[in-house]
This record gives sequence, C-alpha cells and structure tokens, in this order.
Amino acid sequence: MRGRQLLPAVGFLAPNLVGFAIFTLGPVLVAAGLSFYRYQLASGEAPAFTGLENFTRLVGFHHSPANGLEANDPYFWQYLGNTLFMMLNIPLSMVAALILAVLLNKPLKGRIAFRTLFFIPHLCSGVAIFMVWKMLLTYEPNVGVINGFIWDLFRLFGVPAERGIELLPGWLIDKNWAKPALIIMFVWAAAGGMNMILYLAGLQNIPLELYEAAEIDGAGWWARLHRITIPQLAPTTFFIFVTSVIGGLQGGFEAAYVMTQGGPEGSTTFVSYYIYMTAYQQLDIGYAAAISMVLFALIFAVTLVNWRFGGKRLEAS
Amino acid sequence: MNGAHLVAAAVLVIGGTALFRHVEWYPAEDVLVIWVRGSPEQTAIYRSSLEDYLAAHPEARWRMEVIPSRAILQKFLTGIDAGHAPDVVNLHWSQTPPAASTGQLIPLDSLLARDGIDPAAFYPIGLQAYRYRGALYGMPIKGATVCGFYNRDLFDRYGVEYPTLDWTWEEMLGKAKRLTVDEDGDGLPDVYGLSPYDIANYVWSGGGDFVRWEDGRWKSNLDDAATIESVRFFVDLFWKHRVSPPRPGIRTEAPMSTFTFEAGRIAIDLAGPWRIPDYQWIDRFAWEALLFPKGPAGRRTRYAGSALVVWEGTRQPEEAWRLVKYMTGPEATAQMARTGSDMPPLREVARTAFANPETPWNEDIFIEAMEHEVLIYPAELWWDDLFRKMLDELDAALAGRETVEEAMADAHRVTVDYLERIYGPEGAT
Repeated sequence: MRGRQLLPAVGFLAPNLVGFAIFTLGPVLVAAGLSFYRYQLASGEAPAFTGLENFTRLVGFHHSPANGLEANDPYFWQYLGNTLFMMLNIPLSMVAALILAVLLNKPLKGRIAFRTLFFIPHLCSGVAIFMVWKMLLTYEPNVGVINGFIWDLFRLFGVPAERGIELLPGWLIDKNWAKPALIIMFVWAAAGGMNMILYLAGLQNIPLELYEAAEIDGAGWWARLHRITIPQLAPTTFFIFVTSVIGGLQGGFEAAYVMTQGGPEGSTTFVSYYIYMTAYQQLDIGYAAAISMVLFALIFAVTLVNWRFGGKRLEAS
Repeated sequence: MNGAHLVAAAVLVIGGTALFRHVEWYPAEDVLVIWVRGSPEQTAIYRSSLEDYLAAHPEARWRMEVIPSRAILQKFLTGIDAGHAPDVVNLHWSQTPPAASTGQLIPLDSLLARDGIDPAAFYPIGLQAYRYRGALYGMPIKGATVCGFYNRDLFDRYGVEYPTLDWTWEEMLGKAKRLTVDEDGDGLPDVYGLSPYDIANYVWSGGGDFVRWEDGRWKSNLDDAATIESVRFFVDLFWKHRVSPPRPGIRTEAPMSTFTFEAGRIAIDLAGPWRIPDYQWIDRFAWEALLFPKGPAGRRTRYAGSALVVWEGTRQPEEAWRLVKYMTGPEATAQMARTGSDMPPLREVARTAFANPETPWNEDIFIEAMEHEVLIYPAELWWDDLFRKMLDELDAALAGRETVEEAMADAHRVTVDYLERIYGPEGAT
C-alpha cells in the first residue's frame, strides 16, 4: 500500500480500532492478567499473584475419602453443563430459520409482511420477550397459555383434573422442564431473526440455472433442497453455526436473570450468570476473571475447530 | 486530503482539547457527593431533605446522585478501588458485609457517643443490621419487617374471619384452605389463599435456623428437627395443601404468574410495608394489614431496610457525618414516612409520623411488628452465596420430586462442605 493511501486508511480505521482497543481488547487483557491473581474487590488488599490457583480451583479435582474424585468447584461444571445443554437450541433454531427462509423466498402473496412479522422478535427488547414468555409458560393452566392448551387437551381426552395437574409440564418451576422451556423460547426468538435474513440472502445468491437444470433432469422438491439448496447454503450455515455457538456459550444471562433467577435448583444458571455472581455478588474478581478466561478458551477452541473443519467443507462444496 | 482539511482537523482537535480541559469531570474539591437509590418518589424526598439541609447549612456543598439499586454496591466498591468513591452512600442492609469488609467505611459508634445520640431511640435491629464484626458502619434511614396484607372482600365473600393480632400458622393454613377457591368449577383454583413470602420467617418462627454459631464458627443447622419441620410447613403450602401458587424456586419471594394480590387472586399476602407503593392504588377491593402469624417458637420475622454509610476516603468526614445525622434524624425520616412504605428507624418518629389516619389501612400493624423478634441473616461476606446454594437444594422438595428430608439432607451436606472450606473440618476446631 502506498504511503498516501495508508494514512487515510488508518484514519478511517482508527475510530473502530481505538474503540476496540479501549473497550474490548484492553479489558480482555486485563481480565486475562487478573485471572492469575487473588483479587477481592475493595478488600483493601492489593491483588496477589497466585499463579494457576484460580484455574486449579475452577477446573481441578481432588480426592475425597467419602466420594472419591470430586470437582473442586462442582457448580462450575453444573453451570457449564447447563450452558452446553442450552446450545441444543442452535440446531433447532437453524432448521427453523432455514424453513422460514425457504418459504419466504417463494413468490407468496404477502411475503414482505410475513418477513416483517417473523423478524419482529429480533427487534423487541429481550426483557419484554422474557416477560411475555414467562407469562406463557406459567404453570397454572388457567393463567399460562401453553399449559392452558395442554389442560384443554387433557379435558378433551377425559383426563381427570387431579391427574391432569400432575401431568402438566412444570415449565420454569421444575428443573427438568426449565431448560427445555428456555430452549423453546430461544428457538422462537431466533428462528425469524438474523439467521432467517442470512439464509434469505444466501438463497437469493443461488443461481437459478442450477434449479432449472435440476428440474430438466427430473429432480423433485426434496432432491433440489438436498442437492442444491443446502450445499449452496453451506457458507451461510457455517457462519450462523459459528456465531450461534459463540453466542450460546456467552448467553443465557438475561433470560436467567429475568425469568428464573438461575433456578430451580440452579438448572438455569449459566456460565455467564456464574461470572456475574462471582464478580458482583461475591466480589471475587480474580476468580471471575479465571472463569471468563476458561469460557474464552472454550469459545476460541470451538471457533478454531469450526474454522478448521468448516473451511475444508467449504472448499469441498 | 488537502491543506484546508488538515487545518480544519487541527482546529477541531485543539478546540476539543480546550473544551475537554474546562469540563468539570468530577465534583470540585469542596463538593461532597451522596448516592441514593429508590423510586422517583423516594429520591424526590431525599432531594427535598438535602435541600432543607443545605438551606440550614449554606456553607455545605453537596451533590446528590441517584444510582440504580442493583448497581449501587458494585459501583461503590469499584469507586473505592479507584480512589473516587462518593462520600456518603445509601446501602441495603444485606450489603453491609461486603461494604464493611473492605475496611473503607468509617465506624460510627464513637461518633454516636460523642454527639450524644441515644442508640436506644432506634429499633435495636435497625442498628444491628449495619454492624460488622461488632462495629456500626451504617445509620439506618428506614427499616421494617415482614407482616402481611389481606383482601377483605375475599374474606367477606367466603365468610372467613379476619386474622387477629395473635393468629398462628395453623389458623393461617385453615383460612388459606378456605380461601383457595375454584370459582368456575374447572378443577383449578382461581383464587389462592396465601402468598407466603420468604422461607426465613418460617424457619425462625418455627424455632429453627439455617446456620448456628458454635465453637467460634458457623455450622449448618439444617439437620435440626425444628428447622426441618419449619421447612416442611413452608413446602407443604405449595404441593400438599396447594394453597399457594407455584414458584420457580424457594429463593423467589413471590409467585411468578398473574396470581397476585393486586389482581385480587391472592387472599393473604405476607410481605412488608415496601409493597404499599403498589397496593395503595388498589381500588377494586378493600385490604388491610396483618401481622405475620405465630409459629411454634413465636413470631420471628426478617428485617429489611437501608442505611447511610460514610466512605473513609471522604475529604470532609465531619461534614459527611453531619449530613448523615440529618438525613437519618427525626425531621428527614419523618419526611420519608410520607411515602407510606419507608418506616423511620427511630421508634418515636415511627409512632408519630408513619401512622396516617387518612389511609384506609392500619399502619400501626407495621409499627407493632417491629416490637416483636426481628432477625437478620449472618453478617458474613459469604452468606448470600451459601444461602443461594442451600435454597437451590430445597427446590427439589418445592417441586415435589424429593421429600423434605431428602432435600434437607442435600442442603445440609452442601452447607457443611461450604463452611468446611471456610473454617476447616467441623471436628478440627
């Protein structure tokens, strides 16, 4: 790049780079450093370098005479498990987004209106969505719409009231139902959002000649979808998957904070919520930084794996 | 890019720098800062009190900043670490341990003694709640305890007698059963008898406790028979007797659905006067206040309130203390009592200023409640974390998946492990 081009280029990039350095890179580096320190906020004590102690406490194990091998911090593993479980919403919401995009890519009447309707959840405040879903998922069937529907089905099939109450899903009040409840909500919120828009853009980039040639060869709807649409959308799918996994590992905090406060039985406490509690309720900044770094390492590893294998698949396609 | 652009850019940079230098980024040296939190109505009264104070002390310079309740402690502690904290802060009682453990708050006992402030004029719990390791760090600005409310119309409609001042758990359960009503005959309650608030009131009134201080350390008390029976009474309200709407967990203090007192779908709502700002607008039914029912060990309820603390790094500690004295004194707290929800910490002011003959409900109930045994959780930095983990284990009983004994055994194990990490094995001390 010539010198006279370099200066304007740097000038244009500078606002973003400066902001990134101050508000993202700087804090990440500071958090990385703090993860090696014992640092209790406002304790009056200077942060003390403890090497890998925070990490040993977080991901290490010890031998207990009563129970054998035990995690030093069993809550971290429980919350990490919750976070990974919640990522089941990613393939479901991707499939839903693809179906919506394929439907809305057809010359249907009113498709612009439908696109707008499906995109509305993406424009809504997360808290508003969580509050609405909290109402929908209310256990009592004469208040919660979803259980109300199930209750009506029970009555239709003659299930006695006492038995019906026992059979109703305890959305948000039972640890076995709380995560599926949140997954349903996340799939609803994500299906018509940016993923659908990305798939729509991807679909419109597929050359029509491919479909025409396939039709001439006698390919049906399924064959066209399976042999043309899905392979051609591979780069889009790859991008959505990577960003969703990253978002999934970081996410869940708002929903848990608003809808369940991490309960019942910690079943909706996610790693991001654990970081918040450790940093701002326990004021254990060093340990919270260590959890953040482990989360960062996980996200980085997932991204690397995706780039490695996703890249090969893209080349092949 | 030509010369004119460069000159324009240079002018912008120089002009911006000059402006930057003249902005008052932090209060001038002689301006002290007080952080308050609360509703717009509450903060307006704080502001009015501060204006009265400034009118009486024209030499004083104060700036009031309103901080969101959830963020105030975090911002305060971060400010302490940065060396730029406010001089006076309004903290919730449960925030005393994390704030005081920093060693960055001014202890107030000697100042009280020096200025002749009689601690006996306050509700005892109002001062105890702001003590840490024996020293007083906060002057209470308001404080109350758990009482309750009942929907008089529902009691009248279903012919249930109103609660008395000495009613008991059993009476409450009996009334709640009669007031849990399936009005449309679809097999589901349309009105629930009771919203029982938090579990601590039951554990304490039942003669139990979550932890006990013994041999110079905290120990789990969750294997205690009285504690187990108290938890059983609380849990049974939901799944055995079905007089209370389900909750997402024991930690939540209210039902998660539209089964609310305001909607007329809860007959007895146990909570404190802090609910009055919401309930005062109810015009669909008549309601009245009530005392928390007596358990096997009497009436033992939880305190809730807030206090003003002084940062040790303040440039003018005497002026900060003078403002704290005024804001927590009779005149300012009587103003706060106008909200109808903020009970003054001074007994006499509570009696004279909190009761309002113009309201249809009886504020004397809230004043009376403070004369019974009012308790707080252990003033320990780790308490919130342990309590959360302990109660999460009890959720299994609340959901009906485990018996109370099983859930309590799990919670006991978690608590013992947690406390052993702090104090070492129990037998070793």
